[in-house]
Amino acid sequence: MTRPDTPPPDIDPGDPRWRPTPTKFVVVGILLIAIVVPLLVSTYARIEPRLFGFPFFYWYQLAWVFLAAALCALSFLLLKREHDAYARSHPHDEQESAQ
Amino acid sequence: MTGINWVALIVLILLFALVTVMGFMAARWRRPKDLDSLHEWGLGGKSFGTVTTWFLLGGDLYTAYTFIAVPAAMWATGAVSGFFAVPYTVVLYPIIFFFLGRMWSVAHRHGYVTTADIVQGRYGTRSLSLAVALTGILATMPYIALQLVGIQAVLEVLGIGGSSPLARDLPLLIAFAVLAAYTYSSGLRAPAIIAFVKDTLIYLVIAVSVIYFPLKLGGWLGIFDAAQAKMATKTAAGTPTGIFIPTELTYWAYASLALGSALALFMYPHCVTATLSSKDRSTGRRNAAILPAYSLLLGLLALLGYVAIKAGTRPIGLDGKVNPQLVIPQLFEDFFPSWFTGVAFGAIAIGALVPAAIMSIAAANLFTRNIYKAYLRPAATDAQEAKVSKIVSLITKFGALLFVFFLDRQNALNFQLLGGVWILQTLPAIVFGLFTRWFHRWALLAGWAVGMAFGTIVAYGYCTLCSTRPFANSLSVVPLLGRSGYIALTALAVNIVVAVLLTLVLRALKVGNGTDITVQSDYFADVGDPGVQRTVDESQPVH
Repeated sequence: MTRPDTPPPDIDPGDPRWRPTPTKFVVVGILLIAIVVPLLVSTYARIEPRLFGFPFFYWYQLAWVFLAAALCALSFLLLKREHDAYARSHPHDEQESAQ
Repeated sequence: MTGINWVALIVLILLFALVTVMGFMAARWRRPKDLDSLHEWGLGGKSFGTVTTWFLLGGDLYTAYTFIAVPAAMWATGAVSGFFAVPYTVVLYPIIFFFLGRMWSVAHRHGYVTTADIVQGRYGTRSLSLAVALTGILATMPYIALQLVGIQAVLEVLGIGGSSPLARDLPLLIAFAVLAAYTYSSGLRAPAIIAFVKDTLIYLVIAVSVIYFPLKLGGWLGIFDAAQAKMATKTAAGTPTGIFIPTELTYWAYASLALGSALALFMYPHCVTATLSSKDRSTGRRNAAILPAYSLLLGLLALLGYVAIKAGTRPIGLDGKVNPQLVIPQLFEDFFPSWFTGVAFGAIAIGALVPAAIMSIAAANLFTRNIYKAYLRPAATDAQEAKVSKIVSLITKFGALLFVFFLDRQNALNFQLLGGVWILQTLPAIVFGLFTRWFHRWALLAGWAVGMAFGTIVAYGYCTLCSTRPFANSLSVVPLLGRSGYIALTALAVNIVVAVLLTLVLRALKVGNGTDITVQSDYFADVGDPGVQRTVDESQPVH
């Protein structure tokens, strides 16, 4: 019914993009934290402690703007590191993807 | 409010003239061979880098929604109505991180421009891609309507218009004529250039606002205390005015508004357009890490609604009635010198125009590729496609005007939430398909239909706290849960349940699941891989 889910022959199946890797599991975990924790309203629906006059409810959520950005950046760097490591060990592919 | 604020009006008109000229000049930017193909007109040649994409996405995401609707909701009824926009934009980026890369890859491998293209490629089922296209066009209209309300709010506070219907809507029509003209001539390049001007203005206005107002009004503590006091005040009906901190009863309402809005956003045609016009696979993900700068601004702007409470702003419309949508323009006019009021209003008006342009272009792309070309004239040339797109982008704007006329303008935030109810029903077909072919095409179509019907009926009238107009509230009691929640998310749950159950049945019956012209590697391809071009060659036929 579906087309075969295999990479075309001109692509190395060892490339981390085509298969699940430990890095990808870590990235999924990081991203899930960044999605679920900010939505747990009961954990921050209170006034104290205040920060610069902001009730906890308000400054905590604004702090998550930076936390989520940092977690996304971390995920991006982890995936990039994995890809770069692969590209270094396979110089031919690097040449291709760097064009 | 007495008469017209001439200084502010002249500054506003000058800024407007500036962006209009820039819009016309944008047609020459990076010198495309011609603008008569959909790829050039509608996607800017798919050649935008991280910075341009950032401005473009920012222009999409932070709009009159941010400047008018969210602070107005905060001013009127507090956190659950307005501040959910902050967790919405927080969880948005981790969510899109999951699927933007796959979407970019498959689109660039196959030359897709819209979400309906992606669905068509995956399932080879015209009715399913037609459903996705029609939903995208429909859902974009109330979102554009929100931008219209934003522009109207600025003009009304300036004193333009009057109580007669014609005087009130004339400035709106003029603004739209200008928008239509430069969108028509330059396509997506116009908003991308203007976004730079717009964001510069906006940063300036926000920086001044968040420093100036707390200093002037005695600090944030007093501002929050004033808001808390207002929200606790009993209304004539004996209920509190609003919610300062959500309680157990409203946890789910708050979280579901945030999650539903976040899931919905990247199903909108205009956000997909902006994503696909980036030049490589990781541009979207890189942006996920830097776009939150906008989220912080959004939060601070939302709090201007509370600032207005402390400042005692009285947003009275020209018809003499209280209109929460006027609260931010009124706050600016009360406190700023006239010339800076003009700058701030210019930022708001341009900040509404840019996304309105992008949205109407994206809706037009959808129509042209997935309705006009798929059904009406399969043999259309590139020039004909671009022509039809331009006309449809005009029609979409007029559709938005109808939403402004027939729905309650007092709660403009609800326009965006209503669009979300509809657009979110396309998520299973679009996003699930990027990851798996397990779902059956007819099950997805049935899930979409049930979700659309459920969401529309509940939103139309069977809601809590309905006012006299239809579609007045986006929260409704969730069956089984017993608490109120965002209708879009409830409808999506119904949609998914239907899709899963029918998939099991149809697979057991071995009903054909359409033709998939994509292979797995299409979902991971990047610039430099076979079959992926850095920029689209206009001489190649669009397929």
